[in-house]
Parts: sequence; C-alpha cells; structure tokens
Amino acid sequence: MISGWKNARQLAFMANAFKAIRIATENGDIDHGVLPVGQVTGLLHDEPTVAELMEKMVAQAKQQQEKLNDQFS
Amino acid sequence: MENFLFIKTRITELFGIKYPIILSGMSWISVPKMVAAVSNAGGLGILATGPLNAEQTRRAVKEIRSLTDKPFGANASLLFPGAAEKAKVLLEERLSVINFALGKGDWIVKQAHAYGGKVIATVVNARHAKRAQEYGFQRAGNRQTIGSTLLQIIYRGYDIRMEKRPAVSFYG
Repeated sequence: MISGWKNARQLAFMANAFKAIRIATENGDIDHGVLPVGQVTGLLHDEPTVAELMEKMVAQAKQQQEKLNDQFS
Repeated sequence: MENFLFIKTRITELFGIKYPIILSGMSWISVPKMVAAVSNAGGLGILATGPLNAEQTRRAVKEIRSLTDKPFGANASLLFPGAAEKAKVLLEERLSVINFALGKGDWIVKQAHAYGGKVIATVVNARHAKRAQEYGFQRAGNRQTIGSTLLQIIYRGYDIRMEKRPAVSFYG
C-alpha cells in the first residue's frame, strides 16, 4: 500500500493469478491455466525440446555466420 | 567450414558452458526441470526464485543438482520480501552463478567471488550498469578480475556500453 492504491490493487491481481499461471506453465494445462505470452508467440510453429531448440539455434547461428563470412571474405 | 569462434566466447569461458545461451530466471518457467534441461543441453539455466521461499529455494537447488552436473545459476530479485534470505541460501549452496536484480547486490558479489562464484547483475540502463561495476571494483580493486567475473545484461534497446565487460542480452 505504501506505493499507492493502484499498485497495491495490481499486485493483488497478480497474486491471484499466480496459481493459474503455474497450472499453465508448469503443468502445461492451458485449458484451466493462464499462459503469459508475448508478441513472439505468433512466430511459434513447433514445440521442440530444450535440447532440440539449443541445437537448432546454434546451427542457425553458425549458418548465418558462414553466410556473413562468405560475403565479407 | 567449421567455425568455433562463435561458440567460444567470454561468456562460455566465464561460466564453463558449451553455448553462449542463457535461460533467464522466469517465475514458474525457469523451474528445476527446465534449468537442468538447459544446462544439460549446453547452455546455462537460471532458476527463478521469485515464487519460492528460502526452504523451497534450497530444495529446488538440490533437485537441479540431482538432474544435472553442469553449471547452473539462480536469480535473486532483491526488491521482493524475503529476497535476502533466499540469496543467502544461494551463497550457502555455492551456486556457480547468481543473478541479482532490483537492488544493491554488492554483498552478493563479494561473497560469491569468495568461493569462486560468478555474478550477473541485471541492469536496464547505463547508470545501473556502472553501479554494478562499482560493486566489483569494491571487491577486487583489479580491473582484470572484475572483467572476468562481473557481467552486465543489456536489456532490450538500452544502450549500455561497458568496455571490456561481457554482457548478456535478454529479450522476450
């Protein structure tokens, strides 16, 4: 409340959302939980495992680096 | 053409990881299983301690240790209640990396460096970055040492130029 009524109310909403968010993020139940998403969501087309995602990112970075190397050498 | 220059960066050297890719400590997302998965895949997982209390933080650290033998970190958002207690748990558990944010983390830097831990300071502007750098100076008094153990995060479009400091950029 020290930071004002508006902030306190927002924090209260946030506290209530915690359980719902956990249901979606940790348990993966998006029917009953709330999933916080960002603008990047529209660009997602698959659900790789962490290990798959890492290898993919590194492979893409290497590919891009080689492309740049070719252009500047 | 195989080019290893990209993979070997100051970040990978600093944290002892394979790829310079870091999982930021996001509440309810950066949970023990996720942290271990990222560290096992060659990156650095950072546990989100925001929704946990001190005891849960300790349990989470132990759970990650049961899932991976790779380096991992945890965050400490100093603004939240109980944050200091959680940070103390992280220091007691001698975490490889501690990521502090939203507060004065000089004591974390000092104690983590004492056992060889690394500290990431989350900053959103150049003023914070400079302040975080000063914590390192207080501790080490040696430019080279700080350069290798203190890290600034570039957050979104803020122009933070920290010469000779490795930096991580997070975006979401």
